[in-house]
Amino acid sequence: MSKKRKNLLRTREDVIFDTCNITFMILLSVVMLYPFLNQIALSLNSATDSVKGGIYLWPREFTWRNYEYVFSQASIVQGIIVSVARTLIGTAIGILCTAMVAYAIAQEKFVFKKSITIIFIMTMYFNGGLIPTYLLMRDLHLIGTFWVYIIPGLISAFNLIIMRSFIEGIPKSIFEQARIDGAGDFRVFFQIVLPLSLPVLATVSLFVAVGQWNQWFDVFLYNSSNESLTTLQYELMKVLQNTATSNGDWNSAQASGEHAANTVTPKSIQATMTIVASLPIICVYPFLQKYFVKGMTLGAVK
Amino acid sequence: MQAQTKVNTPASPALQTDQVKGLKAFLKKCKSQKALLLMTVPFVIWVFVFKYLPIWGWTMAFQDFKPARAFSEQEWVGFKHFIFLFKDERFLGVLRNTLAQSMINLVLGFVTAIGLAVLINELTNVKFKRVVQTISYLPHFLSWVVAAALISSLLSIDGIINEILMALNIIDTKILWLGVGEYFWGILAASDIWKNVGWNTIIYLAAISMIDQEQYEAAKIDGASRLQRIRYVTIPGMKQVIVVLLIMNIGYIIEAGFEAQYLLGNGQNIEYSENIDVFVINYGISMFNFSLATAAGIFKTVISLIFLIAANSFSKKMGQGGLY
Amino acid sequence: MFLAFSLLVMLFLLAACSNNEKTGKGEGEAFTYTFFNASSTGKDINTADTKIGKMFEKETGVNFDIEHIVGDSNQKIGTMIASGEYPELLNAQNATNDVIDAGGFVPLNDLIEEHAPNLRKLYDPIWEKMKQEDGNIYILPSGVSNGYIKPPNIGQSAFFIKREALKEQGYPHPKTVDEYFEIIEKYAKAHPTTNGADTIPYTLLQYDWHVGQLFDPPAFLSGEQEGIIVDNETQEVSVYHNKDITKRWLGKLNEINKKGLLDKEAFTQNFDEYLAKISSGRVVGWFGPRWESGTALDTLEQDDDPYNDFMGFPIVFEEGIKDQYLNPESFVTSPGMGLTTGTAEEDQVRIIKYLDHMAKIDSQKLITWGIEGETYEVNDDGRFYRTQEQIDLTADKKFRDEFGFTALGWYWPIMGGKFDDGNSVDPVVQPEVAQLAYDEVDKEFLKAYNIETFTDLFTEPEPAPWFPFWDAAIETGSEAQLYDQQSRDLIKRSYPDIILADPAKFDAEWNKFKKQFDKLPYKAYEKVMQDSVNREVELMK
Repeated sequence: MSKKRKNLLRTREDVIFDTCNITFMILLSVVMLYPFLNQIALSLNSATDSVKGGIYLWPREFTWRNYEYVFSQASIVQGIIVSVARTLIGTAIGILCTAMVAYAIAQEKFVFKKSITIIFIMTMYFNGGLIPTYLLMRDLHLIGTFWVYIIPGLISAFNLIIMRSFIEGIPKSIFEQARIDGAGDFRVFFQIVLPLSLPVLATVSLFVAVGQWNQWFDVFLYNSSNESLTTLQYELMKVLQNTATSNGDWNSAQASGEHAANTVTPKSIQATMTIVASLPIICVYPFLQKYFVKGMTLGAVK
Repeated sequence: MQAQTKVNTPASPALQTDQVKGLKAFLKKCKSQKALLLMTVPFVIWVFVFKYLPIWGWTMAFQDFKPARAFSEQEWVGFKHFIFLFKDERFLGVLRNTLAQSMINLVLGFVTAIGLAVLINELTNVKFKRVVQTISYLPHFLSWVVAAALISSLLSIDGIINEILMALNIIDTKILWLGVGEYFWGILAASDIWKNVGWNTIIYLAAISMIDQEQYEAAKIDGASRLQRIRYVTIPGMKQVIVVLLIMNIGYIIEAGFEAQYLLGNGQNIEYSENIDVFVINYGISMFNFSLATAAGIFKTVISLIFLIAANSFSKKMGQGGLY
Repeated sequence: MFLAFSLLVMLFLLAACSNNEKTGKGEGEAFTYTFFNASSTGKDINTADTKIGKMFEKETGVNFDIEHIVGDSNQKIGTMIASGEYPELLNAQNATNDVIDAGGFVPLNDLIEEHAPNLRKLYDPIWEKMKQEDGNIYILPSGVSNGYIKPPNIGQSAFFIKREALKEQGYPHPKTVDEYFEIIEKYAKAHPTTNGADTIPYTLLQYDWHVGQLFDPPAFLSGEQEGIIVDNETQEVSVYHNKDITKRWLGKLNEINKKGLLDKEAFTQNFDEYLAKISSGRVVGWFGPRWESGTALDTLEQDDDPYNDFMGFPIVFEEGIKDQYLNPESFVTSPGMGLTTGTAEEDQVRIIKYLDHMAKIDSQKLITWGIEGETYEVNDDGRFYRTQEQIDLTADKKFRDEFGFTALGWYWPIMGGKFDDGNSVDPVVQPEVAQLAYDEVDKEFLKAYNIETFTDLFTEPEPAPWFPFWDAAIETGSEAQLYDQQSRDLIKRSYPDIILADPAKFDAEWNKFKKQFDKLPYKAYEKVMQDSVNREVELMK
C-alpha cells in the first residue's frame, strides 16, 4: 500500500482516535515514570535532608554518598556476576525445557497430554512449605551450590501453559506438512516451532529473567553462608536491612554510639538500591521488543 | 487416554482380552510417540521430585510441629490448627477481605491490561510505541515498600490527590484516604493496577503480534473502521490467551498478596485491609508456628482447586476451551 | 551473545572453585569458625580483618566469620533446627528458646568453670539467672551490668517539646500531663503555621512495630516502667491495657483531639512520613523513645536553627508521682550467643577460650574505648575521655568497621554499666564525653533549668531486678504468646475509635474495647511474667 493511499484512508475517526490515544499515552507515561525519577532524585540527595520529605524530581542537596555507601558495604561486583550468571543460565535452560514440554502437551495426539498438563497445573496452587523444601535441597546436595538457583525452578507451570496455548495457535497445517516431509518431533520443535514462537519465547524469557534477577529468598535460605554465590539483590537487601537496624536497634545504636554519625537512612538506601538493582534488568526489555513488533511471518514458512 | 484408565482398573476375566488388546494398543502408541515421551518424562520426574515430594510437609498442619523432632516424634493434634483458623472471630472478615481484594484486582487488572495492550498496539509510530511500552512497565520493578511510600504520600492530607480534588471543587474538606476503611479496596486495586498494568500487557502484546497481518488488511479492505478492527480482529486474536490467563488467575482468587495490605494497612482501615496472608504472617511465621501457616496453605490450596476446576469446566461448557 | 554467555559461565565456575571450606578447619595457624547473628544485620566480615580481631587472633589463634541475618530470622533458624546443621556460634534472636528446646545448644556451665575464669567473673552477677530450668546455661547475653550509671542524655522515652515553645514561654518546667499539653496548646495557638505549613501540636505514630507511643505512656505517667506493671511491694504483675490508667491516657488524647491538637494523620502515617514531620519543625510535641526518631532528631540538630530541637521531660499524671522514665540497671539474659551442637569438643574449648580472652578487663576496654592515645585519653584521676578529634574519629562508620568496634562490640560477651575503676563501659555515657558535645543553646537550656545534664530532670530509677521483662521466655504456641499478638491487634484497631470518638461517646467506645480485651488470655500472659519476676526476686535474695 503506498503512503499516499494510506493517508487518504485516514478518516476523521482515525485522527480523533490517534489524538486521544497519544494524549492518553503521554499522561500514562508521566504517571509511570514519576516514581522512578523520584527514586533517582532521592538516591542523589543527602540522606539527612531527605528525611524532611519534599523531594520530587530533583535532588535538593546533591551527593553521591548513598551510592558510595552501597558500593562500599556490599560485594556489588561479585553479586552482579552471580546475578547475571543465574539470569542467563536460568533463562536459557528454563526456556528450552519449558518450550519442549509445552510443545509435547500441545500435540493433540499425545497420549499423556491431559495427565501431564494436570500434573503441572496443580503445582501452581500448592507448595509443601519452607522446611520440607529445605530438607529436600539438602538431601539432593544442592545447598551451597549454584544449581539451587536453576534446578528447583526449572519449569514454571504458568509459563508452560502460556507457551502451550501459543503453540496450539500455530496452524496445524504447518506441522503436518513437515511430518509428511519426514521430520520427527525434535526437528519440528527446533526448526519450526521455536522460530515461529519468538514473541512468546521473548515474553516468557522476560518473565523468567526478571524472576531470576529479582530473586533473593533462595539465596537467603540456601547460600547465605557462601559468599561467592550471593546475588546482587541479596547483597543490596543486606545493606538495606543493615541501615534499618542500625537506626532502629537501640542496643547496638547505644553501644556503638552511632547516633551522631548517621549519614545514610533506610529511605535513601532503598532508593539507591531500587536504581542499582532495577536499571540492568529494565534494559533487557527494549532488546526483546523487536520480537513483539515483528509479528508472525507465516508467509515465510508457507 | 481411555486405554490408560482401563489399564488401571482391576480386571474381570471377561474383559481380559479386551484389556490386553487395549494395553497393546497403548504400548504401541507410546512407542510411536517416543520423541514426545523423551521430551516430557524427565520433567515429569523433575516435577514429582521438586514439587510433589515436599507435600509430606502438609502433615505439619495436623501436628504441633517442632522442627527439631523427627517425623515419628511429632505430636499429632488433628484439626486443631484448622479449628483455630476458622474459629477466630475475625476469620470471616479476613476471608471476605481476601476474596474481595483479589476479585476487584482480577477484574480491573484484566480489563485495564487488555485495554492498554490494544491501545499500545494502535500506536502507529514504532519508536513512540516502544518508549511507552518500556515506561509503562517500570513501576513493576519498584518494591512494594517504595510503591507504598509513594502511594501513602499521594493520599496524605496535604497530598496531591487532595490538592487536585479541592482545586476542582469536587470535595470541600480534605479526606484522610487511608483512614477510611471503605476506600481501602479501591486504593489497593488502583495501586495494583498502576504497578502492574504495564507488565501485564506484555503477554497480550505478544499475543497480538502473533495475529496474521493479512487479517487486518482484509478487514480494512472490507471497510472496517478502527474500532471495528479492534473488535473483530485484535480481541478475537487474543481470546485464547485471555481465557487461559483468566482461568489460571481465578485459581489464584485466594492469593491477594500481603505486602501492599501490610504496608498500607493501619488501625483505621484494618477491617478492610487484613487478609489471610497478613493473618498468617502475624499468627504463623512470626510466632514460629509453622503448623498454622501450613494449615492455612492447605485451606488455600483447596479453595484454589475448587475455583480452578469450576472455571475450567465453565469455560469448556461455553465452548471456549479449558486449561486441560 | 554466545561468547559473553560462555565467558560468564567460566567466570562463575572460577568463582565456585575458589570458594574455600572454612568452618572449623585450620587456615595456616588460626582456626576459623562461624558466628551467625540473627539479631543483627550488618556487613559480613572475618574478625581477623579488624584491628582488635587481629589482636585477639594473635592471643588465641581463633577468628570468626561473622554472618548476619538477611530476611526473616524465624524462617532461617527454622531451617537450621530442622536440618540440625548449625554454625559454631549462634545468636538465634526470637527463636533462641526453640533452639534450646531442640537441643541445639551445648551446656556451657562446665566449659566455663573449667576453661574460662574471666567469663565466669563477667557473668557472675547473673550466673544463676542465666540457668535454664534444667540448670544448664546455654546463652551468653551481651551487656551484663556492672554497676548503674546514669546516662547524661535521654536515649529512652520521654515527652518531648520543641525548644522554641519553651524559650518563648520563659522555660516552663511541665511536670503533669495537663501542664505539658497547656504549653503545647499555647504555642500552637500563637503559631498556627510553621514555615508555611500547618503547625502540628501533637503527633503520634502507630505503624508496624512502632506501637510504644500509644502503649507505654499509661505506665510512665503513673510512675511505672513500661510494658507491664510490677507492684513494688508485692511484686504482683499486671497488664494495664484494660486498667484505668490507660483509660485516663486515652481520655487525655480524646480531649486534645477534640481541641484539634492531635495530628489528623496520627493513625495513618507511616514511619517515614512521621520522621519527615518531626524533622520539618512543624511538630510541637510527641512522646516516644529518642532513638526511635533518631534520624529526624539528628537532622534537626545538624541544621542552622538550634531552637527547633526537642527537649524531653518525665511527665506524670499528677504532682507527687515519682517518675520512672530512665531504665534501671538491667540484666538481660536472652537473646545471646550460644555454642551449638555442631561444634567438636576441642573446638568448643578453643571458642570458649577466645570468649574468655575477650572477657578480660583489658579486652573489654579495647572493644569499648579502644586504644589509649589513639581513640581515648586518660586524665590524672584515671578518668577516660575523648578529644573532639577522637569523638569524630570513633563516630566514623568506616573507622569503626576497620577498628573492630562494629564487629566485636555488642552481641559478644560485653560488660554494661561501669568498670570497677568507675569509668563508664559505654563511652557515649561517660559524662566527660557527653559534656564535650553540648553546644551553646544546649548550655542555655541546661542553665535555664539549672541542671548539668538533660537527664537531671529525671528521677534515678529504682532497682527492678525483673527489668526488662521482655526477655522472659514465652513458650511457642502458648496462650501467653497468643495474647501478645492478639492484644496488639485489638489495640491497633480499637484505639483509633476510642481516641477519635466524640467525647460523649468516649466511655462507650472504651467499654466496648475493655469487654473485648477482657476476653483475651491475658491471665496466662500475666502468669508467665509473674513466674519470671518471682524467679528474679528469688535469685536476688
